[in-house]
Amino acid sequence: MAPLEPWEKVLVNFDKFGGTVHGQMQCTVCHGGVQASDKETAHSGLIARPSEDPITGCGKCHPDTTAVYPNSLHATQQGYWTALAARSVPENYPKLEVMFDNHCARCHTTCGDCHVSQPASVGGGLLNGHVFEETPPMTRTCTACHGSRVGDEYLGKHEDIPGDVHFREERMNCADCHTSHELHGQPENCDACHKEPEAANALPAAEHRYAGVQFPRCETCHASATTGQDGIEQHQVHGADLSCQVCHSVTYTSCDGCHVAISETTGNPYFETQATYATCLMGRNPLKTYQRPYDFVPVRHVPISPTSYQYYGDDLLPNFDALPTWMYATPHNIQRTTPQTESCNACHGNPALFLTPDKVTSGELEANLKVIVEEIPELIPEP
Amino acid sequence: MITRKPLLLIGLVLLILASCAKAEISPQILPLAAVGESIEPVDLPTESTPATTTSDPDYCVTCHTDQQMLIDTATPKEPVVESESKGVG
Repeated sequence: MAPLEPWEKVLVNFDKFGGTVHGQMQCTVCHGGVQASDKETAHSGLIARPSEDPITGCGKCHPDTTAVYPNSLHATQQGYWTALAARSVPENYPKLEVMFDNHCARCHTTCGDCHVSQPASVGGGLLNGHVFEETPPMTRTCTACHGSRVGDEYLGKHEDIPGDVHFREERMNCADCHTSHELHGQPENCDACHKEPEAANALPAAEHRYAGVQFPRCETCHASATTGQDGIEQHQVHGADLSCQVCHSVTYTSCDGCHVAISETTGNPYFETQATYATCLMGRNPLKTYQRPYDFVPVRHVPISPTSYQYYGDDLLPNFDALPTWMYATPHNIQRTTPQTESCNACHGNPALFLTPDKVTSGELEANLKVIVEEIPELIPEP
Repeated sequence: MITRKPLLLIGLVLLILASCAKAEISPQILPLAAVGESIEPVDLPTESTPATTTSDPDYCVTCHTDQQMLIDTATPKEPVVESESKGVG
């Protein structure tokens, strides 16, 4: 959406907000400042973003959530550090921390970034006259940040590629699958944190989005697909060895060679991505666990390269090959019927669908050994 | 000889019965307010009269609900520097 004017970002609709629970409180309770008729005095000691400190502010009434939120991926962005730490070495961390603060940290989100305003990383501004939105509006919060891949694919913004069936047919919001527990970093095991806030606070931070129990999972709604009760033979045959997206995803976005730097002319951080292209490739599952037992999963090329952070120092990713560059993916463009569902041999004996060695650049072969498909499933003789 | 005892006994019984008889209540005519007649309210005594309060204006709300005031007092916008990033983020 178009950027908001400064006054638009802070215009309160007191007719709406005043009648809500949060509207009953004096503004200064959360925002500090003082009651005065001139702006400068009124804004002395102002706390523009009270939920930067969620425990003190929101935690007074929502202690179960704020106790665990500091460990959530929205707060920690720990997924970045899981990947950086794997590809680098501790002596490089100080330079990588500077890089992270300049280019990545602005995507950190507070409670207010979703429930009161647009996230600061996309310009901020009140969502609805300061009314607290229990379920934030999808396109102004979720896909405002998660837009170039998830958002565009889910909403069908790529030419000739339909949006996700859950959006096209049911207008489902992100929060319909991604529950508040997941988004706030609360495990689905309620007892783990609802005993008392202090115990919940001791929970380990999530390492990345595919850590632990798979949630959300398609089977929550489509249980009959995994129990073989829906009469679809492929679900009975492949229910445990393929992730649902293997058959039900269509083309999605991959990127190459993102490099970051600070502009010499403006002093602002910027990035440059070398290539963006459409793919739909299945690789071997590099995260094969009890929770994710699949043999094959969709893989997406992430824009990392050995020289992505060269602006901050040489050879900052000496262990570049420790992780694949074609990563386990869960594309958000699910369709009931896809080219893969047309017949058995749409996949069997079809090398075009798999991440075979010829599709990987020579410099990245080592990194992708865990996901490259050396032998594609054999062709099935037609009856 | 005629004794006076029975006569006294009868007189005593009649006296007791007379005292237990239901007293007749004469109807009272209560005054009714005339239709349309105004009835003046009467001040009831109270323990204390509440002090008159005037709520302080909430300057935060006053300003942040006034579009023109926000426009007039907005910090001058810094010139927008076009992003130098290239490609999909």
